Amino acid sequence: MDMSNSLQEQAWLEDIDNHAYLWAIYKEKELVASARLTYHNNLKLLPDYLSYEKYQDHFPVPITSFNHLVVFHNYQNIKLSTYLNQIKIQQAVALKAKNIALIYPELCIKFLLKQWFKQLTTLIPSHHCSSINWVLMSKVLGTTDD
Amino acid sequence: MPKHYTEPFKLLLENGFTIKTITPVDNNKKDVSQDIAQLRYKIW
Repeated sequence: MDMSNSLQEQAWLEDIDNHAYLWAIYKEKELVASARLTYHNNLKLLPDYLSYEKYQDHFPVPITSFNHLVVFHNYQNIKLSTYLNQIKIQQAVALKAKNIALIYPELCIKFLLKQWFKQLTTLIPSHHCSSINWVLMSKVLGTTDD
Repeated sequence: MPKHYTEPFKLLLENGFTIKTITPVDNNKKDVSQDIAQLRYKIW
């Protein structure tokens, strides 16, 4: 068995990763969480753009998108996602983006609401993992709350 | 470490974690991006 091909098949890498900010959290040598931020001057280039299309007025450009946040099961409930979101908010502010857009599990939006994100809508269940209710969130940057 | 990451990075380090960042201009961290791609595959 060709192990290099096998490993390649068991990975999820996208073209947009080459133009993104990526963060990886390790415990010793094990990767336990990661996150991605992308920056766009054109809304149509957002990952999952079709989910945002009806709400374009809420998303002035330049815009940052928070996406592909994953935390390994054994390390959930210790705020790693909160730390990653804090880092991404700070990066979005540093990039002088006007807005942050993200699609997030409805059960996990407490931190985002505290950071002045707004929930725009609940998405149809077929988006991403069908067992989770996903919501569309946005945060306007450039205010005194940042 | 970029200055604007200081607080969350500090909290992670205090809890025994390390964090690596890849920016759009990095092209020498293929090992990290491959780790990330494999973690995404496992979780999703």
